[in-house]
Amino acid sequence: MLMEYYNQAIEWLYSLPVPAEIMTVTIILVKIAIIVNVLLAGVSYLTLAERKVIGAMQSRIGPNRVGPFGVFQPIADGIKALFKEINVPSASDKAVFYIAPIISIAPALAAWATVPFSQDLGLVDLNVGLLYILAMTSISVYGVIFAGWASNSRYATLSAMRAAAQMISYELAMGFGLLGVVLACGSLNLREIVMAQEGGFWNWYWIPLFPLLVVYFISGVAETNRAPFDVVEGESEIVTGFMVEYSGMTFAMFFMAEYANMILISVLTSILFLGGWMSPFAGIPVLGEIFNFVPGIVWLFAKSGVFLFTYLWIRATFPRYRYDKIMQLGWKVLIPVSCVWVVVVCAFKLIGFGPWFG
Amino acid sequence: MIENIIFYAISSVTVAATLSVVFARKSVYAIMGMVLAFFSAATLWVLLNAEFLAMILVVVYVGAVMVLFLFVVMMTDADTVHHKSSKFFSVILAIPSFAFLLELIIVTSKTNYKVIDGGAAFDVKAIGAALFGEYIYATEVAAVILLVAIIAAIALPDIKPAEKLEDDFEPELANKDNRLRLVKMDTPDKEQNLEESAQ
Repeated sequence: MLMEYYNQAIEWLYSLPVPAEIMTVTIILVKIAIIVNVLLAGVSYLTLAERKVIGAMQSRIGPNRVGPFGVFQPIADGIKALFKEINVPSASDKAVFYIAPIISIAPALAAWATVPFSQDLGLVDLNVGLLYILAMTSISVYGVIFAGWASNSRYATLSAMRAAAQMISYELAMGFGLLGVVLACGSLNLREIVMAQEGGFWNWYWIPLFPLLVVYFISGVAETNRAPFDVVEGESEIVTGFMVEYSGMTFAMFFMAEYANMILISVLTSILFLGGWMSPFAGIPVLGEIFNFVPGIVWLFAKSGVFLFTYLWIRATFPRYRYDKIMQLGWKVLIPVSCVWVVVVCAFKLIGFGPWFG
Repeated sequence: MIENIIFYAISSVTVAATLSVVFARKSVYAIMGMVLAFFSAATLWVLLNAEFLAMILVVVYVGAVMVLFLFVVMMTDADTVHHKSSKFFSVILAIPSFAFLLELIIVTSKTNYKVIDGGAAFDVKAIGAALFGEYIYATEVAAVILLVAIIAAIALPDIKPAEKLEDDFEPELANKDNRLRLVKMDTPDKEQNLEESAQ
């Protein structure tokens, strides 16, 4: 239904007296604008959700002054960040100091280009979509390192060192987690990965690839430098690490990049392991038909919401890991586990195990 | 038409970035230039429809190799070391560089390039089939060389077994004995004390 309206609108746009190339570019730009705006709205309300959820877990109220239940708090925060002065340390490297937040947020937004939101929603249907996302997220480490280096502060430099080592280490475990999914599905295209999991929640990859799901999510938490792996920011040791010299909007950009990456990891986990936009009730006689009307994007957001809540839950409950323990977990636990499970997946594939590898 | 414009724009960025690697004053700037060069080279691959190679280039070189470069440069603080190089030495080094440049120019101008469609030639499955079919020996040799390099990197630096980190550190739990301890002590006589203070 909606798709028909969309196609009609596109046809009408192309019939306008504008060169087709310019129209194509305009349509793509509008799509990008929609995705980025929805994403940034999600980011701002994720900050509110975080404060509310953690507040509830620690028997506090959380923000409740701006608007009913504090719903306008993110807007107030945004306005505050916009009007704050950007202080640049005199001994810093000015150019790199300004480039660092941009390098941080650009890949966090760019990675969304290949994410399929539902059957036919999404910007690009790239054959190497998964690799594209991996490539984009691997760039974001430069934002942290350059920020740490350019600030010319001991805390910031220390934090940049920690960030570089941590993000490289966990990228490996993450890559192995993805490798299992790619092996199971035989494609790097995110849409095809979801399509391969069609038919009810027992057809999703979380059952045969459960260890990889755990490994992927843990390394996702470590990649985004969130608690309990947030030694990069470590308020009690190195203030806020690489962000210590940033103020106003430059700080907000790092913040938004972190939250955008959190949402990306959650959405990716649901796409790779929980069947993306697929309904969990598909294939069940009565329930499946009742829930047929729900658009796929709602299921995707619901599944991602579970992981986002887990992010906040983890932050509220776990103490910070010690740095060498983080490295130990990454190299000595997660990588071996995922390596072994990749071999197991190969065996599953050979014998055509269950409904997943048939 | 548009593709040509994009191609020349990206190519000039690549060339400028590569030049900045050579002429940068600070080594961190040089690495930034190199990252940009790799990235724009990857976009050139995308223009050729070879998305897989482009993504691999970004993941491997930009995402891992250059981060290690940056790591080393920041750790060693390379900019504070001033190398005293004589002009004679520079000239000697320039000769092989220019010879190499000349060779590259000759080779690239004499080769007849075929226009291929990257999408078909660099398909993920085609690359996989080629690597593990036709070029299986080369792939395995490369894998063994990498393995040897990894083992060498671990074995070569003569690292003495460092003092064991306190992994098994367990905090001493308080119990009834060490929480409260009753000690018998001789209290000085009260009267004696008074006498002393009086004196």
